[in-house]
Amino acid sequence: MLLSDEKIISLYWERNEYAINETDRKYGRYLLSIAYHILKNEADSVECQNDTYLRTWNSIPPQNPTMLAAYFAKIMRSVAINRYHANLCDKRIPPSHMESLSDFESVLPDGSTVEAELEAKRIAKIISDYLRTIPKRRRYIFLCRYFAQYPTHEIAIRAGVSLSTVKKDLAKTKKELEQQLKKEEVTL
Amino acid sequence: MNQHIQNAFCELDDDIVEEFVQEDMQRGTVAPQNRKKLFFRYLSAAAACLVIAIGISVLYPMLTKDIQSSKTPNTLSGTIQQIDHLVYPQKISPAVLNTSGGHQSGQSAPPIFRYTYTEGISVVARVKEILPDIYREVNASSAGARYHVLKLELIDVIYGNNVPREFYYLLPTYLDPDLTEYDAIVFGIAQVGFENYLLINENELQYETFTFLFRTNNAYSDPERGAVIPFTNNVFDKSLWEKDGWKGVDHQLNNALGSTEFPANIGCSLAQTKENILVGYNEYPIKPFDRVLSLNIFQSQEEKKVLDYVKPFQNGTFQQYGVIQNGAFVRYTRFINGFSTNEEIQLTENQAVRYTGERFTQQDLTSIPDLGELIHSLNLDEFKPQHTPNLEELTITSRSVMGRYVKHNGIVYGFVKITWRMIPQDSEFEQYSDDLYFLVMPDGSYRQTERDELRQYIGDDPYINTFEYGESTYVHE
Repeated sequence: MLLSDEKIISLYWERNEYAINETDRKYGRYLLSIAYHILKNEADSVECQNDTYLRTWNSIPPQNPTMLAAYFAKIMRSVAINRYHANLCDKRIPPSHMESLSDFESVLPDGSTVEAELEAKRIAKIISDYLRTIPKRRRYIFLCRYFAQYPTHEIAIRAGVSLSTVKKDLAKTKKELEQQLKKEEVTL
Repeated sequence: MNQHIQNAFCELDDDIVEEFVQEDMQRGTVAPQNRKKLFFRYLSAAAACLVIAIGISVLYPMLTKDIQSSKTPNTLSGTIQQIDHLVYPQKISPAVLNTSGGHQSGQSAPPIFRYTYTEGISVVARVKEILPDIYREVNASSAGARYHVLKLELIDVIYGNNVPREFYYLLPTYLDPDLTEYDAIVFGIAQVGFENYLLINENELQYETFTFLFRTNNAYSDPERGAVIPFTNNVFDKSLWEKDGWKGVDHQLNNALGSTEFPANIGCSLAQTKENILVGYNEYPIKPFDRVLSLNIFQSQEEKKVLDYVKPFQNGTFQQYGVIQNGAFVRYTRFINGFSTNEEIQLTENQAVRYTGERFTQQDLTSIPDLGELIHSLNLDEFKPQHTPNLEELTITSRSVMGRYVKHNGIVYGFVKITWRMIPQDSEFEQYSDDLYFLVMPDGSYRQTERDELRQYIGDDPYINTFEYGESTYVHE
């Protein structure tokens, strides 16, 4: 019996340790796959998963997320990306994994500022609004690539389409998004 | 893309991410797999079920034979000297049950995670015995969970290595534990402890040790690796989901039955289910940790000496915390009367033994102050957060109580800590914390104290909080 998200959140609010168990049962494996696609390392992924649970434990309460899956996924992604950069600094990432992570090259931490955070939020809003306007399949494929960091051949399997369709969809979405961002005066 | 754009993906609107995650989870985390293979797998499962439906009486003897002649389980037989559990002769303090998590008291210490990734084992087993009592974990941070303990008898190993012929299995108390009517059950299992893992028997208020304890971490959400799938006469039996606590699974099961990832289906045979589970393992992108570990991995003289020292109940009570993943480590912590101490010993595969804290002696154990009695005597409602200036503007969301023994410079002290968490009435994003300590002297006398004074007596114990009084923490995603 999987608990509802509302029940899981109420367990966190009651400071009941079972909240972690139930979170793990419901979302654990999926969260692990998010980290694994970024880090390509099982041990690091498990550590990130534990960090995510700890951050959640420390943030609920006071927070009261209404969309729990999104809440966990965003924390997990953020933790995994931070770990990725830490590994990069320590040169712990095997060269074979560097290529698949090239999308992250420009995200090296530069000491984030309030302005940078605000700008990221503004852009996130533009991207979110744009994503709502495109067909569901293209939205799913785009997020598979840029949110979950899946390789294109895996996206093809997940989405049930050919590899060339994935590439075409990604190219089209990226082009439209670039136009939208330019319109909103975002520097590319 | 520039940095702002990349960072923006961490800030996408929740509804967008929620829709994506839900859809992605539905599409499955079995990820890189060949769709044709999936199609044929589903086709073969459907064909097998059809054949069984029209000719079960003919196939039954063959299926029985199939199980009997399946590969010999790779077990630890011969290494287990004590399959039954041991019972600590002395009762533990009832206060332990009231100070360790749960709805009433809450818990301030961060959760301890262990054995988080040992799900690479699927077996066929039958329930041999259901222990009559209810059990809890020993470590405070997970003691809110309550379990039935079942003794299982191994029939076959579908995937995994070194599985014992008999082992114990934890089942949450909200599930009906009576699974004895099924002659075979497929379990996806994760190892919880090495030999002599401690649990608290809630009915008897005593420690008991268990040799090789397992649980299913994702009983229903992880169906392709086996989870809990019952069989009667070697045919999938859905009746489990009519039992107490299991009924809620019905919806999940109906979804699973329509999925090619679920290894069983109505009328499906055990043999076909095992085959489907193996396909699931082979297609999963991350190779799971697939063997049961025993303490015999620690072979050096010093390690053997430590294992002898922490032997159950001979030198006191030690609980183990461990991680089994790409090797293993196990950390033993001494518990006295149900409360943790600062005496710890850690064994790590292929590394030196690490000792922490001072070693307690038999003399220490005979004259130790009774923290349980102290906690029992305190009227917790009388105490309020004392270091928070704007208390009247805050809502208390939790209160936790814990006790701990610390041996420092040869003297055994105890302390009791109460921790509160609070939020402002007009903001969900700020959190205040406050705490209160009682220092308990070796002669049993105690007094309320502050962190600094406590440190003067017991040193810098990690269980003394470090947050700033009166300062809120801004909590964001």
